[in-house]
Amino acid sequence: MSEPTTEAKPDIPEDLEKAIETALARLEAERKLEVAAAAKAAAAKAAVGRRVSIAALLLTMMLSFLGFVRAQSESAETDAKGIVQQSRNEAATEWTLYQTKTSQRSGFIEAEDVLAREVLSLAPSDPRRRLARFHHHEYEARVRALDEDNRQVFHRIQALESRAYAAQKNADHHDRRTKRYDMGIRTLTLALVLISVTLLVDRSYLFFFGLLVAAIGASFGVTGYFLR
Amino acid sequence: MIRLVLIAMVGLGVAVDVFFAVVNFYPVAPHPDPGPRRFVVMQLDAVQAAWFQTHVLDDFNAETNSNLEVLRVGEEEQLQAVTRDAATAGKDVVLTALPETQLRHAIETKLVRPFTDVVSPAQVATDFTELGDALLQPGIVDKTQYFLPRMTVNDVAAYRVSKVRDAVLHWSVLRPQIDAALAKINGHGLPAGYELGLTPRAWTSYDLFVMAYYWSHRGYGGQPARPRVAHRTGDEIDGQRDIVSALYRLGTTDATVASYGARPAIDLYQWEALYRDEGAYVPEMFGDEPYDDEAVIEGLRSGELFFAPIDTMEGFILHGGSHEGALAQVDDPADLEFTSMPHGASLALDATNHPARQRPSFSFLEDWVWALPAGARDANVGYQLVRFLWRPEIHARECEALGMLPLHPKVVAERVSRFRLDWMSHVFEAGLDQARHGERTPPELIAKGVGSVYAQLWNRIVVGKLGPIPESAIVEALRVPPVPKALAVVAAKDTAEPPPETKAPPDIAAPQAENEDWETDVVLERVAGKP
Repeated sequence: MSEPTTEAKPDIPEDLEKAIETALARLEAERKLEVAAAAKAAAAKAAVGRRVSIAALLLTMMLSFLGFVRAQSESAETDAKGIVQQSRNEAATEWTLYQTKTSQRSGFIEAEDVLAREVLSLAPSDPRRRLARFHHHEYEARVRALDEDNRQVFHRIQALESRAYAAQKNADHHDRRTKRYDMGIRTLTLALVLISVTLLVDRSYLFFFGLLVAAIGASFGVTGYFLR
Repeated sequence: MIRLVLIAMVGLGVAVDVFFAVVNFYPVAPHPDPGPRRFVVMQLDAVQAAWFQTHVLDDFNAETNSNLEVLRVGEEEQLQAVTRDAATAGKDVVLTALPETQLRHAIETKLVRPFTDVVSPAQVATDFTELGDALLQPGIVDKTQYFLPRMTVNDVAAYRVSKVRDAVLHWSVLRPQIDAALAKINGHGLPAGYELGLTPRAWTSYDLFVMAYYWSHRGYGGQPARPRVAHRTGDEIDGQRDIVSALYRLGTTDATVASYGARPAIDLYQWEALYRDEGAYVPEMFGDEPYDDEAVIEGLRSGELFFAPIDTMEGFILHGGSHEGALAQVDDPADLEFTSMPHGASLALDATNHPARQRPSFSFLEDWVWALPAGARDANVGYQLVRFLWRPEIHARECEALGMLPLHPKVVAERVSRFRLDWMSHVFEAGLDQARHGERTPPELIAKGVGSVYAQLWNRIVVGKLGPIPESAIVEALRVPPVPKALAVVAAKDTAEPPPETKAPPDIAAPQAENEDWETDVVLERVAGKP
């Protein structure tokens, strides 16, 4: 291959020269286009990255806060269930007390019945009548006292059962909220995954689909708070 | 465009984040304004109304963020008038509890409208499927669920245990006199081999008469002997129901109830005339004023009556102790017991000297329903309250505190473990046993005035002192039945009357003075051959 010199300028046809220049210009234009496209692609990728970052940041915060709220709700549910259990246990204890007192009462009633039968066979002047009368009054006073005790025990049981019912309703309410929050958290997690995948596969619709899923997840969370 | 959407989404996301951050500090959502007060019209006494408000409506209000209040009336005849007047005064009445006897009038006067106006029939069927068709049936009018079930009321017999024991022990002292009184009518006296029944639920008309006769001649606590048995009288719903149910206990059926001269009617009025002649009924029954529910309760409360028909709710009021505010109305609640009404038996005896006609116990079932007032502005809250009330826990709570007969199938099945107090289970067992021997009130009782006719006949024969014999006099009186009178729907009165006087609980340290009846000899009065 020899160096071309001005002195030895080959005799190149003018058409060919133009063709070469055109080709070179085209090559240059294509190169510029490629550079521009590469720059645009880089810019788009950077934009997507920013969008994904912002979305991920917002969703992560959302998940985090929602997680706290869910934990609170679950904790309240556990507390309410504890109250239910405690109230039921106390009511059961009170019922045992009630039964004990009822047994005592039955004993006195039986004793009164025996007295009434025995007195029938005694003469009016028999001193044992006075003793029977004394016992009768004593037993009757005991029965009345036991009845009063049982009345109070029963009202305490009613209050405990009422408290257990209210706490159970409260627990059910928190359970519904917790479940709704769970749905929100799962949906938001799915949204986060979808949006993150956008970084790996260049599919912008995935990003918007992820946003849609995130909106649904956020709705679950928000409505969970207002659930009655 | 996309940029704007993205900016909006970011804004939204930030807002949601802030919301959740704030929610962390306020984990319970604030309650919105529950809105204006709305009312539920019911027949309750002041103590019952206070309990219902605190333990039912307040719970419902908290759960549904409503603002319901009970608007009570003292007498059932006031229910419609109070509902109408409240609506006129601008109050939003969302529910009214009505007895079945008032439904026709309420519909005709357009006071109420069907629940199916606000909820689809399919939804009603779904919401109340647990109750079963039998409970929903009373609320159906023209194949439409016009009303929803509230409760069923039936009468049971309330009696004083100590006085029954006394009668069991000593009644035979008066056997000759009782035989003589009965022999005037049936020519024989007590049925062959008769002994006073020892099982209250198996008592018959004869057992009741024997006890009534004995008590009316027996002085207690140094006081003169006087009648101790009564039932309701007068031409109003209480009296009509008692008289007609007594007819059913002697053999009347829905098919024959309008046959005024039928055999059961003759049997009944013979018995009633005999009670009157023997002074076994309290004299107030023959007065100008109807001897109604309130009079019977007062009689039992004061200890004047030893046996009378009352419904289970009245039984709870008398006994007291069903909730903290329910004080005992009787001096010794443990002495009050309940059983089904006596079996019917004719005065006439057959050839073997046994009652010629016998029938099982009977009592009418009076259904109460929830009605939706035509002017209710928030009808849905009324419907939701009915659903709330039929939750097993709430229904059981109402039964336990107010004495409503348990109707929810689940509560009925669990009644042994749900209602553990002895006296309470006795009331419910008596009520449920009676319900098995009961029927719904026949429409003719009110619609055709049959109840009114029998009540007026009772006045004509018993108050008019027609004798039980000759029978022809009663037959003659029955042959010309009086013109029926419509049931009164009274105007609304002041419903804020003071609560009924309640007795303080007995002083357990110092029991009331004993009359020593339990140990003394029987003191009989007004007995032939005795001082």
